[in-house]
Amino acid sequence: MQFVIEHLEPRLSDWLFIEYSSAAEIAGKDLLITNVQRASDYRRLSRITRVEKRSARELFRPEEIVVLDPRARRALSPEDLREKAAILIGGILGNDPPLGRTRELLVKKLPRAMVRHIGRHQFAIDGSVYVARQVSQGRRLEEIPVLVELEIPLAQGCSVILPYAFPLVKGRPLISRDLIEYLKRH
Amino acid sequence: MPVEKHFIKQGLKRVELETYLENELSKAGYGGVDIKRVLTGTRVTIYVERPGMVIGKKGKSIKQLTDELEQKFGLEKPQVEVVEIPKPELSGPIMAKHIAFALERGLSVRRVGQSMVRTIMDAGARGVEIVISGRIAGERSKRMRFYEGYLSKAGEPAEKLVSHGQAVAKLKPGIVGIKVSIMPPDVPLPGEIKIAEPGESKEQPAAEKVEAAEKAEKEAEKAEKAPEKGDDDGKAQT
Repeated sequence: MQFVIEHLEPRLSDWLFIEYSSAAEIAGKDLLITNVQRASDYRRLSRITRVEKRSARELFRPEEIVVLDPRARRALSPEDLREKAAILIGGILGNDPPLGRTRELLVKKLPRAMVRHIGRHQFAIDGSVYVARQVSQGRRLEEIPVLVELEIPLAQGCSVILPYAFPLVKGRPLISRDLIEYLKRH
Repeated sequence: MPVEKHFIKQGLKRVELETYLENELSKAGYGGVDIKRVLTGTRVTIYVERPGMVIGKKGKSIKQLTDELEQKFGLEKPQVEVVEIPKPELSGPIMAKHIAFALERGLSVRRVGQSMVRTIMDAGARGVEIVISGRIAGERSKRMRFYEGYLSKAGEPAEKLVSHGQAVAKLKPGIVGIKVSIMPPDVPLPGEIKIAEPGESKEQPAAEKVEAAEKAEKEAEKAEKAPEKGDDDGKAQT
């Protein structure tokens, strides 16, 4: 099973790069980042994982992929992935409340593809890859614990709250150390 | 009309009125409104930082505002009262607007948040919480929380004692929301019970109370008899 991230942001920001790097650590060789048009972004991302200039729409037939969208009607299950080649995840940095950009930029362009959600809350990109990988290995969504809203203390009397869902791994939310450092710096 | 609909209508009307006042009196430092029905009409108490701006020259602005409240919102004989907020640093709505203004001027979120917490605590607040949310300092939407001291978050104290305020700052990456909650000093918390020393007690002991009540009764009796006498005297004179 391949985990494909369709890069949909106009530029590769530091935050996005950190999430892609974390996703690459989770999925290893199974990760592919598509739709990377800018040469500088392509070079930067090539150092961490496999990268494609073309869109996932050109690389896969709609019948062989499952698109993850929080607004999908049905939840992802291991049975959905039986005859599929890839799980497609939107490379978008979300808003709070969500704007539904995955639907606009990805789902509407793949009308014949299977669309599933991994929970009603918005996940970070690396979190989505982790959950999708767990489901592809046979775990059900209900078995994957999730924390909604993560508060990270930055200094005395100051903290940052990320209003997204984070899967819990051994009781701790899945967030990369680089992202915590990035948040502390900015 | 069902009872629920009546209350919803009242609530909507109040929100509309508050939004209107917030827009109209933003320059005067609007800090909230209190509406009470009295025998003679509706008493509207407006709390502001600069009352002069609301009253206007020879009360021109306040008259205009009173007319608009009557016509637009259907308030019955509104009596507008403008009250100056003694310490604007302890008013949630005013501080939220100050933060929005500072962010729109391009100051960093962290600097604004921390300096405002300091200002509010220096003014004597028991506790404060400032939450700034949106696309701030980064590409993803997030919330920054600045806090210090003690702040009630649930129950009656959170509803009635804490000053809540919110504002919106229009920045280049998008709209940023600001929420400020301030716990003012000298608010009586339900959990705080003061046991008075025997000497400090303001209440009289039971025996003294009985004596005082008896005295008061006797005086009342005397007072009742006195006017009767006076009336008799009066009649005698005529």
